[in-house]
Amino acid sequence: MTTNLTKNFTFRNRVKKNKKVDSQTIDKLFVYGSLNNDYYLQLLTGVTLPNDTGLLLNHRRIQPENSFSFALPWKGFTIEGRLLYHVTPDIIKKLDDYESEGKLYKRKIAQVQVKEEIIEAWVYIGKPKSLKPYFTKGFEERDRIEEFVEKNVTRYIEQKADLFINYDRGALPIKVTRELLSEEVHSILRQYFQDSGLPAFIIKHEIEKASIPRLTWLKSDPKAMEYADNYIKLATNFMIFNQLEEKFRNDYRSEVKVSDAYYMHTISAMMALKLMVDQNTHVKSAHKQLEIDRFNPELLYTDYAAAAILIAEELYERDKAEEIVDWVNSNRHIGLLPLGAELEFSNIGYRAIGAKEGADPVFDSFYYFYNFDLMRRGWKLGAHIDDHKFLTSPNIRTRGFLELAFGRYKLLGDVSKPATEDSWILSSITDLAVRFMGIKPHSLHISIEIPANAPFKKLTNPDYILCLLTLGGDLREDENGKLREMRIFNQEIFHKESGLNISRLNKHHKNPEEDVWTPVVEYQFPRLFYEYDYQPLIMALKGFQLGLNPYPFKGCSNLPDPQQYIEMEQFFINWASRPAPIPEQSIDQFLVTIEEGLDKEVAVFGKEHGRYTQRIIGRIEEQIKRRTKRIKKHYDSSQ
Amino acid sequence: MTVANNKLYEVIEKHKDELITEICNRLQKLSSSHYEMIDFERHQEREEEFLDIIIKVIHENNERPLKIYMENLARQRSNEGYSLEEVQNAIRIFEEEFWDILVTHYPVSKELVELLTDCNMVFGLARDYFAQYYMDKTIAMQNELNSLKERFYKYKQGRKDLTGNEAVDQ
Repeated sequence: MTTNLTKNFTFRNRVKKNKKVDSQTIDKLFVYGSLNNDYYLQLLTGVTLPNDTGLLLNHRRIQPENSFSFALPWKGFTIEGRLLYHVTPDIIKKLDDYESEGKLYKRKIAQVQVKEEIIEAWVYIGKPKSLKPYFTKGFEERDRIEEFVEKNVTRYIEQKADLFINYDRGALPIKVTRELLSEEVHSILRQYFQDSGLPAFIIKHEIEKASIPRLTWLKSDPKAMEYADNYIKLATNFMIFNQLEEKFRNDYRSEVKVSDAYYMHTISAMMALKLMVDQNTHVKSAHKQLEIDRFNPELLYTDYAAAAILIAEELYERDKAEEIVDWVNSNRHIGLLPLGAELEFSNIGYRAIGAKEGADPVFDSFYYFYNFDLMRRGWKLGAHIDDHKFLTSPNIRTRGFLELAFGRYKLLGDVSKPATEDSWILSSITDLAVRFMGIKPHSLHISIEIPANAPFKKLTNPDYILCLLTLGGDLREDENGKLREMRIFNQEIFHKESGLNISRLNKHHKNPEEDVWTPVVEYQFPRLFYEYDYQPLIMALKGFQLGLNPYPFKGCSNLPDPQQYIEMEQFFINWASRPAPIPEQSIDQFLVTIEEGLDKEVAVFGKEHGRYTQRIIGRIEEQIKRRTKRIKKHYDSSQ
Repeated sequence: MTVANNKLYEVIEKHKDELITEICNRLQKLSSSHYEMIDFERHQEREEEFLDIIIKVIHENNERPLKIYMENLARQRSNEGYSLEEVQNAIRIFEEEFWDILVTHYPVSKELVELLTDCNMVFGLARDYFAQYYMDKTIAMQNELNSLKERFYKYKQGRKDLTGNEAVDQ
């Protein structure tokens, strides 16, 4: 029996005897890493090729942690992979481009054993020194393909920059164009992976047709001009945020990465928001110094983008970024249920819906939101206008709330992915977004994706909803000193047609092309506060859903006793106008229910998670009891 | 510790809940301000902390803790985007409620007048420390951002050289 080594030796001798193969005639390529994946190969070349499994002789595969592998010459070692046939010069050119031949990899001829035969073929050999920066950033195979696609897109961005920004061909105009077209670039990338590649002419077309926003229209719209300063500030802030988000995503790939089931920008967006919020004074001063804190008729939209890029470069320092990454890493927790959130903002509160012209002196209820191209600027946070009608369109002006919907990357069709499974992440990004926006926060909708086969149960004790209201509602005195739960009392979640919207069952699509939907329960009662820890509320909702999984109040066609739910709604309306203390027994039962629910997570994730859950349950109990005490004080004094 | 100080401590301790609740309710009603957007209990925590500092300073006749507290607070509020006026308003509300409790529950005496003078001085100091930090920060930031200003100026100049002075989106 011959060993591998002796086998190799024999084969090598046999090849040596053969006539030297001309490199021009070689049409075979040995693949072992990302190219050994049919899906990736198709993405990169647009073709599938005939192949055989084979062994690359005298090479060793190096696999750095959290990164992609590469081959190095190593006597006596072999690498398993595949030998591709009919690899044309055109395909080789594309792959050279992908592998950055000459820089990151060297393409050379090596010997491949296929069954009993030794064949000469091309193989990409890594250049460890050049590859090292990629490993420290945590680049994986998919990241490399993304980078490759982005490189292709950049070609067309450069052409666009030449056309639209008549400034020297340096890095800044390209960055500006890229910033203004970032939503389109993201969309191309998504499509690229979804369709296993996109022809170059489509990429070119998409970039060419994407519009560069302008401000010329303002001159003929004096009413819009009155609000221009505030819109410009908001647009610039979104652009600074986008730049920072990209920096975090590029520099800390492994830290911001989430599974494909979740929205890819959540963690990096949160880090960018944290940096901006921590540096708020700096950001404001920079706005003033560059005189971009107001509409300046001498500046173009692209100039504001250039200013935003320069500010982001000034703000982003590696040590500050490291601190933020550490902060996120040390607080993250895993969870069973995918979560999402929608945040509504308006300086005039619930009067934003159907607001008259000028009622909101700062933004005129976001009437000019789309004219200032703010949906494209704020796409990473899912920014859009919600006027509580069916759907707003970027082409039609409307007054309403400015809404952020984390994970909603396509407004039309309500296409979204959950933001996270981590209640700390959701709570923190919500709080940071409120601080970042600088607009009066109004309401918060929290969504919980539930397993499709989990049966809903009847809610028998309405006090459980009161417990949730003490955690997330808005208990405050009115102008006459009477305590109210303002979300319900002001009829903010009351709709003429459907009644009180405490919770609703929604169908969410993850891909526009898919018919498949996921059941999502959306809680609509929480108030969005400034400086608030939403973790107890989110964990309570999660525990409630996992422990009891009650029928949502709206959106269920098979509600077993609709009359009972209608009666409960009336009970909440009465309670909100004069909150009464929640019976202790109900509070205890509620806490047991959510603990039972959260225990399901503990069973999966272990003891450490159990300690975290217990800490949060302790805070939930403390909050409910403290607020009940306040309710009791008011209730007793008004008897 | 003087008798007046002791008495002040007693009065405030006795009426602490009432004082804090009044302050928080008024802060929550400050429209178009950050305070309006904050939950009652968060206000409670914050105002209790401030009250403890004020009492400590009057008690110990030592301004240092107030200076440290106000500078930290100014750093936070400035980063959070509070305007100077907003915070000064909040301090004013606190001061008014504080006086109200004292005048209502402290026996009318020469000591009360002295106490009110002391309190007036402490709140004045709090406002001064706060305003000073805001001013210093603004000036420091302006100097820090000079190079950024320069870079943007160069960009604008370069763009104008090619397009002329006219700002026209093409």
